[in-house]
Amino acid sequence: MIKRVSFSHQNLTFDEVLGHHIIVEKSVYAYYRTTMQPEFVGYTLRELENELKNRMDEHDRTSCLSLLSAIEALLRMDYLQRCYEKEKDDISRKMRALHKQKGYRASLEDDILELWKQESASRETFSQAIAAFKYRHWLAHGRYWVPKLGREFDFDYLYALACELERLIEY
Amino acid sequence: MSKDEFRKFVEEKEKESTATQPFDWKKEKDTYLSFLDALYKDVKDFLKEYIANGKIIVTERQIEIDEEGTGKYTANLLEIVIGKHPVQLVPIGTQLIGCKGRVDMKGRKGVIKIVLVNSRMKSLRDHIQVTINEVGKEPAPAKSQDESTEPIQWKWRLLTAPPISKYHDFNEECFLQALMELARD
Repeated sequence: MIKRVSFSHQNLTFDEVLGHHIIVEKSVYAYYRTTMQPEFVGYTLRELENELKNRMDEHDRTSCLSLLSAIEALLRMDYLQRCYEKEKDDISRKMRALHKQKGYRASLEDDILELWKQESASRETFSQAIAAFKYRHWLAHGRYWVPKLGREFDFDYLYALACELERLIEY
Repeated sequence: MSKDEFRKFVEEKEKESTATQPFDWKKEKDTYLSFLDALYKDVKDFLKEYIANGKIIVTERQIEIDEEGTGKYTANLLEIVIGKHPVQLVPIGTQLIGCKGRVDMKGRKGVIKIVLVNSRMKSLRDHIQVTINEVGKEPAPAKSQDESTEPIQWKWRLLTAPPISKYHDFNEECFLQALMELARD
């Protein structure tokens, strides 16, 4: 088993994901609203609006995927650092026990987030994170089935959740 | 105040009132419907041999179109049946981007748009005008592409699906090719 994971430092911060999300959103909006594109010839205004909405929805999903990846990186790096740096707090001890068993292959939802859910006073936030990763699973695997997610997810909701998770796991 | 000043004021107000006359949507709709009739006439002409021997059946029925300016009106949908496969020419309307009218040619293999455009527009890029202004100089007055003194000649053109959207003349050869593509098994 790998003893120590080398961090690539290529993981994105939530603000970097947000910045990219906003720039692309503005660009798509400008493409549809402020310029006359030749491919729009023959469109009704309703068709143009629908296409813009579909592009924005698709962009939102792509950004959700990117943000959820950044959340995963944050949670996994936190888990590994707590194990490597031998912190004495309860959660770090329990994570080291988990690391002894499963190493870097600990499951994000079933192990790391479940542990946080058990140990944190904000169980609800970690439950929401587990649900959000079901949404990530659905996005990442091609959305070909009808997911049972319990709620709708979008970038704004996930960004707020990401910031809350970051605040809760800070040590 | 001089009488001359008052006369200028009245003339200006008159100009403003004629400039803000409401757009004649009824005329726009009627023009579209007459071009639609001409399009269907061409289609029936292209297929006359097959219609005559009963190998192709062409029927028309009315559908309702609802557009913001014109409100609700009816237009004819043309259905062409070749064997078991119908291809419909569905009128979409006249309030559109960059063209005066559109008919969607729908078959089991997809949709090809037929658009009514200024005959000078040979490709989609012709709809775009690029203006270069030099920093520090007065920008040149915007020039419309339709500034030609000749009246606009409207022509139906076939528009292939994106991403490589291209215009094709609406003639017998291109229409039959499009029909074949849409009605294929």
